[in-house]
Amino acid sequence: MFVYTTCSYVPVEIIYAAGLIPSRLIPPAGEETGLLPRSYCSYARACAAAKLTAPVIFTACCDGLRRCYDVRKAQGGRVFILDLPRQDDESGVGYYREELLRLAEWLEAAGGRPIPEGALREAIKIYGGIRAKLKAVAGATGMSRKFFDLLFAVLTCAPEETRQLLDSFQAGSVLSGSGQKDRRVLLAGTFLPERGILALLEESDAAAVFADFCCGERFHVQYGARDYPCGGDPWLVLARAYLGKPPCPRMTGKNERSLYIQTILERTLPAGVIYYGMKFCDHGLYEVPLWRFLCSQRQIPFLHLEGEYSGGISGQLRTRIQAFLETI
Amino acid sequence: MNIKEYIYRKTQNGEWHRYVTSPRTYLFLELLSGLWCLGKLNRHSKASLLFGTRLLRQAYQGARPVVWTNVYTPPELIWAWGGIPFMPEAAAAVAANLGWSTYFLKVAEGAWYSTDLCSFHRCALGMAMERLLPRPDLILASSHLCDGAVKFLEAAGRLYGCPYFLLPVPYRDTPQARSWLAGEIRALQRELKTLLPARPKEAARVFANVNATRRHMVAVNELRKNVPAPWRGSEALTLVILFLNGLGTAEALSFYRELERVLSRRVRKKTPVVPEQKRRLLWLHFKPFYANPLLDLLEIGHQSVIAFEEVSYVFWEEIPPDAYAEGIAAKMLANPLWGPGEKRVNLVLRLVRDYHAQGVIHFSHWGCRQSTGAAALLRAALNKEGIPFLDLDGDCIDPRNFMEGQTVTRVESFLEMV
Repeated sequence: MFVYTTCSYVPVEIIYAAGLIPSRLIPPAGEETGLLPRSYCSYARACAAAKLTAPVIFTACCDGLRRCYDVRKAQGGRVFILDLPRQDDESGVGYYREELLRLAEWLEAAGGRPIPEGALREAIKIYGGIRAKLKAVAGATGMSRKFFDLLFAVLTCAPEETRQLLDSFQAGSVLSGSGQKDRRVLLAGTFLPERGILALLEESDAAAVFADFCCGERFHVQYGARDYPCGGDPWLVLARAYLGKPPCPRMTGKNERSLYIQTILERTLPAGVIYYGMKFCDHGLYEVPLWRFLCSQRQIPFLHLEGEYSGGISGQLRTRIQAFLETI
Repeated sequence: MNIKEYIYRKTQNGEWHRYVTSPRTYLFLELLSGLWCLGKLNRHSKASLLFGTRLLRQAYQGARPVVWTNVYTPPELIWAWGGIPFMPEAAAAVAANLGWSTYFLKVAEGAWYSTDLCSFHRCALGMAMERLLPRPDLILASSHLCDGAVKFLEAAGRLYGCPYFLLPVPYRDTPQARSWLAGEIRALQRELKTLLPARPKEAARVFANVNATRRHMVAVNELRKNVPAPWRGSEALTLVILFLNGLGTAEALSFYRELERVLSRRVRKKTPVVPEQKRRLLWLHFKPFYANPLLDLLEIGHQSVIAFEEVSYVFWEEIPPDAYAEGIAAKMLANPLWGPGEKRVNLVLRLVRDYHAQGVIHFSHWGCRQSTGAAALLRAALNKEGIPFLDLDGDCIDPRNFMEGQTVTRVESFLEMV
């Protein structure tokens, strides 16, 4: 049975260890249902409107998805909300660990099996392997259109299928070396709903060298990356790994996000930055002036685009991107 | 020429910055309001004016460390720790009231803050960029109630280069969450020890004030259940700033004590605040703070008094001064606007019953995701009970988003149904 997730901070390992298949909820663009206002993130609106029978796990990550959880719950949907601390210190990790245990209980009630520690360790090992392979592919190719398709397949399939997909990608060396192109663009934002922008970059002889999205670089979780004692407790390993992964704009702390942006700008040395934000996403909108400031300090051209979850790349956006690429 | 017009004229010739940021201005206003005891200014209004002028005087003077924080972070915590809580969102409401908000909104928009963001925060950012607000010594954000406030304060921290602290508030209200949050509050206090001159005696005095004020607030809310209504919702929605920012101060205590006395007299003498009251309404969220005819039209023109507003509801218990971290944690988690949406829905249904409301108006402030996102849930729950519900789109701060004709038409059509 599939269990849908709406945020990259939901540990898929727990769902898999419960004998269920985690899948990122990428619903089709829904009709307007009036369940959430029009001045709302279109991903949250699509999640609210989606006709689903499978359980959905939300996180308390943003106002949009918190309210989406409320409306789905009010409609009688099988939903769970996982509280998500913003800080990755001892206290935050301890709190998150308790939340993960609560999630495990709920999964059991939702049709999963009890999760012994051994099963969770095995799930961590499997997903660790998948992430390592994916990272290797990303390192070799950058964020190409084909890599994006692969990543979305990984996000929505069972690990067994994912491993086959990854093996075939590596064996066939299908991906072109987009990272070698001259016009190296750093893509950033909250959630990149579709690959239109990547296709346009490739058509314009440019390459995305880095994609700071929750379905991009922020998917990578490193278990045991931090030098914390976990005492062999896999729940603690997961809590640390997820809270310590590349931070999303929501994870406000003591300038962690600002430092992270500076790090990736210095590491990737892009010729330009395109920030693709979803309309009405507060976390994303507040990041724009920060990105703009950090890019201007380094004299990197910056373009801010606003789109909808389902809108694709409109003619207007296409023109703006092409004009931007001509300047870099 | 009234005082607002005078101040507005000063804003036109560039003198405003000097006047607005000078502690002397507020000292003068404080003295003036202290002497003023006749005419329209009754005692509770005087207490609120005294509070506002004293807060601004102290903040601009830098008499004590100024702590910027968001609305619904308990201000008593900061008063008790020896700081001056300053809520830029409240400053944005004052700017809107003075007719200045459009200017500051444009300043923020010019610095790439999107018009889709909450105008409370955009306006406050504009004011911060113009260096009009008291300079923060530190920023303390709490992660409830909305995402915008956290990000806005983070941006303000970068702007001023001052220390930024975040108090994380769990999503669910459980005994474990309360205990965890109390631990976070104690840890924060330890962390802030070098920045804030906390004194145990001060904390005891502040929490004694908080509990005494709470008792008067509860009494005021009880009096407001009377038919006809003894207080106008439009006034309550303006003065709510006092308890949001001033709880724990002697002025807030004085304000609610006086208000209770005034409302008791009105109830006893059967002299309602609006002579004709055809309908009783419940108001959700805040009101537009700039000059506009909406609430007067509603309460006086259509004799539809706002009997109560959700933001005035006292949702917390008394806070034990000797274990205030636990009390504050309980208060933050009990907030009906935080956590699962059903908490707010249940509260609204209860308020409708308690205040005999015949209709509910939800003011859907542009950019407020946490509140507007619950409108559909509220509509469904109220429709089930047969209570008319109006989801009124608008903006609390940005007058450019106020369509008078359209708003009035929608309100009038709604009132015909009630």
